[in-house]
Formats: sequence, C-alpha cells, structure tokens
Amino acid sequence: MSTILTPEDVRNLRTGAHFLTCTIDPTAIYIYAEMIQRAMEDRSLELITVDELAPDDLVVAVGMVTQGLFIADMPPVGDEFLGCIRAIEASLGRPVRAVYSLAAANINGIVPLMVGLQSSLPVIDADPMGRVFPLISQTTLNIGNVAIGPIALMGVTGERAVIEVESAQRAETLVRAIVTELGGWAATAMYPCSAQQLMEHGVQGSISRMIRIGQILEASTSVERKLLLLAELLGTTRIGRARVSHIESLSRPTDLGLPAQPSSVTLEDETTGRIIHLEVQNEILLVLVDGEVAAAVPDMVTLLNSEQGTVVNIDDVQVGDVLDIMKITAAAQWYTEAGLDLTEPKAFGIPIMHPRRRHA
Amino acid sequence: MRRSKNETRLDVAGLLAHGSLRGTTPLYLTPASGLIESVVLVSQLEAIRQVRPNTVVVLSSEMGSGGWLVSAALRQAWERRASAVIVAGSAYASAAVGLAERLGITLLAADGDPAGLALELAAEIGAALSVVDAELARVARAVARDTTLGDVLRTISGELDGLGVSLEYDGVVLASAGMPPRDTDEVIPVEVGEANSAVHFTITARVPTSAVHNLRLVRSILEVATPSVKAAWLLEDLLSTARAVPTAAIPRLDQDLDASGAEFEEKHRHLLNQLGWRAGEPYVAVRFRSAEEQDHRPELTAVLRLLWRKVTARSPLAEVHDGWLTLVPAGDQDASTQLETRIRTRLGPALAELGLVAGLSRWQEDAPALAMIVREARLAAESARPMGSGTVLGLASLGVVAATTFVDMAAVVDVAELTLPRLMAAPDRDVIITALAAFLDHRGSVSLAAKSLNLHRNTLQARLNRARELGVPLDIPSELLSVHLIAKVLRRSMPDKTTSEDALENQKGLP
Repeated sequence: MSTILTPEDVRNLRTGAHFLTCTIDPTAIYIYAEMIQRAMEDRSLELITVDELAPDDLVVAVGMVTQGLFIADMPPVGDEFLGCIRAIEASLGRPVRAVYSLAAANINGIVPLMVGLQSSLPVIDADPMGRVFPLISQTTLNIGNVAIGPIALMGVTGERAVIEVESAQRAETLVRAIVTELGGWAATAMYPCSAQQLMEHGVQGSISRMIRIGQILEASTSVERKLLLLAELLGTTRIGRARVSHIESLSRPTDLGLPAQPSSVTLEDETTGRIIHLEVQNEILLVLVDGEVAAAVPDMVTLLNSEQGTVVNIDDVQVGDVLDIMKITAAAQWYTEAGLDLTEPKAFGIPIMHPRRRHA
Repeated sequence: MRRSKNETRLDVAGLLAHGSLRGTTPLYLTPASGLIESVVLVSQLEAIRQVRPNTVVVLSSEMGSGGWLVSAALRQAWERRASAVIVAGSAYASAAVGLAERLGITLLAADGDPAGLALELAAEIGAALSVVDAELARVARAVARDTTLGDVLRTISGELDGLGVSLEYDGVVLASAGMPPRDTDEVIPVEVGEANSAVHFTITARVPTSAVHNLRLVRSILEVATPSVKAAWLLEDLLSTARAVPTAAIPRLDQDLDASGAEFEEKHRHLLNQLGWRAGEPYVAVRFRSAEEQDHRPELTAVLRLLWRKVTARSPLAEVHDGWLTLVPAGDQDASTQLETRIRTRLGPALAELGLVAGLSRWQEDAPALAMIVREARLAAESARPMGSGTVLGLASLGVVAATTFVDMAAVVDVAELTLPRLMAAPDRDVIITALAAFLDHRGSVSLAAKSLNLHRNTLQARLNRARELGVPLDIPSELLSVHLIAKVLRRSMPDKTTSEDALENQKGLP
C-alpha cells in the first residue's frame, strides 16, 4: 500500500533507526533527517510495498559505506546517490523503478528517503538486513543467492566507480579498498535485482517498523509503557537493568575489513548481583550475563536510558549510568544455518557459538 | 584408605602451596579448596563444555584474554563443576574476578605460558594417579586374603573408613558391613556376576553426602574387590551345597506316602546314620517355595542361602524339588516359636521381594521321623502360597484348616452350578448362601447363626426354608459337609462379606 510520508514520519524514522542500532555516532542520522524534512516542504515522498511494483521491475539498494571517516566530518555534495543510480542504469541498460535501504537501521535506514526525494523514485518498505550489519555481504539477499553486482560507488570528490563482481565476499574487499581511496566514505548502489527477488529474499516492512518504533519512543508516556509497546511490536526482551561498572577497549584483535575499535562494557545488576558483559564493535555483538550468552549477533542489542527510555549511544556510556539492555530478535532468515554462518559472533572474530545453533 | 587419601587427593590449595600452581597468581580462591582430578588445555571455548568435574581448565594463550572470554570460560567451567580456571597472566578487570566470586569458582592467572603450566599439572596428576593404582593393588591384595563373604565386606568397608558396604540382589540386601544405610547416602553400585549368569548381584557402597570421599576412588575400590567378593561367595555356596546333602537326601527318601514315621526310620536307619541324623533329636523343618504354582527358580538358591544366614548359620539350606528345605534343631517349643518369629521378621520382606513363601513343621516333643516333619513343612508352605509372597506359616497355627488349601475352588463352583441350578439362578442367592454358611458355622444352631448375622431367628429360619425349596439338601447329614464347602466357596465371590474368619477367605490368587 502506497503511503505519502510526512515530516513527522521522518522524525520517528530517525529515532527508530537510532534505536535499532545502538550506534556510536548518530549525528549523521540527525543531519539527514533534517535535510529530508526541509526537502519535503516542496516535494512529496512515496513509500510503497514491493508488491506494488511489476515483478521484473529493476530495484536497487542505496546506502553509505564508510571506512574510518564519519560522514559528518566531510558532508556529501548531494548528487552522489543520483550518480550511482545512473551508473547502474547505464551498466544494466534498464531504468531503476524504485530504491530500497541497504540496512534497516542507522544512517542507511534513512538515506533512501533523501534519494527518493532527489530522484522522485518511490522508496520500498523493505531492506536486505532487517537491521544493520557492518559488512555489505551480510544480507538476506546474499543468503538467497541474489547477485550483489554491479556495484556503483561515488565519493565526495565526484569520482565514480562501477564494480562488476559476482561474489559478495570478493565485493566486500574491493568496495573497502575503493572507499578508502575515495576519501573514507562513498555513496553506493548495489544488489540491483527484480522486485520479485526482493519480495522473496528481502526483509519486508523495515521502514514502517522504524517509524512505529519512533512513534513509541517519542510519545510522552512512561518508560515502562514504552518498553511494553516495544515488546509487543518487536518481541523485545529486557536482558537487565544494570549500572555500568567498567569500560575497557581493545579486548580482542580485530579482523581486517571490520571497521571500528572493539571495546567492552561491564555492568552490574544491583538488585540481583548479576554481572553483565557487553562486547562492542560498531554495535553490541555479545551480551553475557554471569558469563552465559544472553544475546549474540544476529540478535540486536540496544541500550536505553532507564529513566527516560531514550536510546543511549555507546560512546556516551559512562561508569555509573543505569541502563536497560534490550534484546531484539532479528529477521528469521538470520537464524538459519546460512544466516548464522554469515553473522554469528564468529564472523566478528568472537569464537563463541550462537545459542540458537547449539540448540538446533 | 585414610593413609592414601592424603597422598592421592590433589587440591587447589595444596598445589598452590607446594605444587605446579605455585607460579600462578590467585585472582579469586573459593573458600573450600577444590579437588583436582584432571586438567585440560583449551583453545576453543566450546571445549569447556566437555570437561569432567574436578578439572582444571587452562585457557591457552592464543585464545586471548578479553574480559568476555574469561567470563564465558568461567561460566562454562562452573557449569561443568571444574576445580579452577587458569588464564594467561595480564591485568584483569575486576568484573572477571567478581564473576568468579559470584559463581564460586577459583580463578588463577598464569605468569608464564599456560601450556607449560598445564603440562606440569598433568604430570602431577599422573603421579598422583599412580599412587592411586598402588593403593588399589594393596586393597585387592587385602581382600584376596579373606575367605568368607562377611570378611570380604568388612575389609572393603574398613578400607573405605567404615562406609556401609552391602551385597544386594534385586534390591534385597543379602549381606552387609559397616555403617547402616541412610536415605541421604549417595549409592555407588558395582555389578558382580558374569555375563552368562542368570543372577546379577551388586556390591554397593553408601557414601554419606557429608563425607569427603572421592566417589571415583570408592567405585574403583569396589571394582578391584569384586573378584574377591565373587570368589568368597562361590566358595561359601559350594561349601553350603556340600553341607546340605544330608538335608537334600531326606525328601528323596520319602517316596512311600503310606509308610509311617517309624517304618521310615526303620527302613532308612543305616542311611540316616551315615548322613549324620540321629533318631530322637527334635528338629523343625522349614520349607521355602515360590508363591506362584509352577515357578521354581533354582538360581535363587545362592540368594536364599545368604539370606538364610540371617536366621541361623548352622543349618544348611538344601535345594529340593520345587523349593528349598532346611532342618533346624529345636530343643523345645520356645525355640520353635523363636525360629518362626525370626524367619518372619528377618526374612519376611526379602521373601516378599523375591516372590517366596515359607512353611514350618510343628514342634513335637517325641521327635517324629524327619520325613514327617519335612512333609509338614511342605504342607505349611503349600498353605502359605495362596496368602501371597512373604507369608511365613507354621503348620501348628494352621491345623486341619490346611486341608481347605487343597480344595479346587473352580471345581466346587462347577459342582454348585450343575447340582444346585435353582439356587445358583435365584435372585436372592447371596442372602441365602450367607444364611447357609452362618447356620453351618454354628453347628446348626439357628439362634447363634441369627445373632452372628444380626438377624431375627425367624428371618434366618425363613431363609433356610427358602434354601430347602431351592434344592439345598439341608436335612441329609451326609451331604452337609459338601453343602458347607459350597457355601464357603460361593461366599468368596460375593461383593460384601460380613465375616472373614475362615481360611478360605484369606486366600488370594485363586480362581
């Protein structure tokens, strides 16, 4: 069902995108949300479901790929994504009919709205992650054998590259290398596929879900009420409410290609005495409660301020803070054998088995 | 065992003080020093899920030393009841130490290479195990010197600091030594008996939960003692069989049922003398048999012999046709009564468990022929059978009522169906049969019978007349015994019986 988005929706989407990844730096999300809200004053933005397209319509994922540089440090000129879409159309010789998000959280959860406004293309309420992962190969489309290429990239300097590649793992290496050369980040368009393929292998309803999360979190109700509504919507569970007792960085070596510094946070549940351990690398990858795995990627973990119910950035966490640690189950595709192979803690250099695999 | 325990039990505190753990830094020590039985060097977290209790888990240096890793390792080691976790030495977050304290598991930091430490610890455990082996060999030698089952069990119990040790068959304790069992004991059973043997004994040690015994060592000691237990038991059984020959012979001699006791004695005097029986000495015969009709299990002989020793060690138990027989000297009536009581209290529950019953002959001052008392005991055992497993019955308490044991109930019912069809078809049949039985029980006294049934004598009289109308030959004296028998048997099948004093009604398991 087609929906015309309002500035209010964009604000809620921003909050939802932030909630679904306990991101290190949400500045870019806020900048984009503001730009989109301004652009909406004289243009309308259409959100559609994938079944509104013809099955063989060409659709493409748009998103930022960063390599060590925060986007806010060197803002885009504005034409980068349009350039990428044109490059894909030129490469495939067909027009792109709609765009979708590369990820359903963080900056890439909101970027497609800007692209939709600029290009007048509708935005599809779907994505290939159902959350955000750091690697472009970690997608449900990859599990479904949908080709990642051709990939178009455009950096801040206006330079543009099109990579003809089959394997998602190989694409990862090539894209990372080019992004570094392009200046630290690049606008990209990838996973060009048919609407039919996106319907079969993508995660549906991701944009509207983020909007709904934003509506819940932005409402002026009690924290407990918000948690209740989130539990209803997402099957969220609260792992614990605990006080931060220790923060350390670099607790393990990182693999090449995995951005961001690893660190870990220890909290203590003051009522039960449980010791909670968070392993962080871009996002929270692992939660141990008294040494037992309580959540692990692909589960999503986010931190909420226990008093206000607002999302807490990992970078802002300080010793003494009392936080609610929330676990959100990811899209079902991620808990299959192939899904866990791509995204369980081992894929992030943490040699621990996901509990679901152990019980399978 | 006291001597060996100090030598073989490795624990964290001991090895920290003067063993391979000397070079480690304790990050957290549990208040009670953990036992150490093995060591594993793990390079993958998942490997900890396989370790046995009382293992020291050493995390190899290539695993890294992150807080999450130590936390997860502590948790998994705790779940497996490991003795300690050793991590590569470096600075540790208080959280890991806090978790070790919370879970109650010792956490040590190795100053050098953890792999080297693991090797050193493995060597130390190996040395301790060889001491255990020497200790087990010593126990094996000690029990091998014993020749009786009782001595073997006492020696084993002694080696285990007086723990309760018993030989059991199917839950029945046949012989035991050491502390009496308690419900809270941890039970360690070890099978005795070879694969092709029909009877499986277990030798069982009961370890109080409060005791600080190494359960694996207790089991090992039982295992090395098993051959001696088996040998002692086989030897005793062999000797018992030899001693039981004279007893076993008697029922074989008693083939001529018409011969009197005196004739029997006269006929077999020479043989009886040779077997060691002396004329004029009073005995009580005890006969055991299965509670089921055709269910003689010769393999129970050894079991029953061990049990029989709880009553008396002197009189051998012989396996005879469809049961077991023993002759116990009894100087007077009291000795005979005591014997019956002892059998009932000491063997009753075990007999019930094994599905057996026992019958005893009467004590008689004039010391009847052995063949007579053997026959009495057999009769008593036969009469005990319908009362169910575990019944111990003396013929003295039974008397002529024993005769009813041998009545074929089904046949009597058949006779009633055929000869008294009108009675059997009568709607008031039960009332009439009850009246008949009471009337005959009271030697034909209508007044006494009516009183026993709480009826007016006219009512009873009316019912008796009704019986006569239905064809019951109440007025022919020679047929009264049969009528009485039929009344008794039919009353058994009635839903509501008012009296239960006669032996027929106590019988179970009959058609």
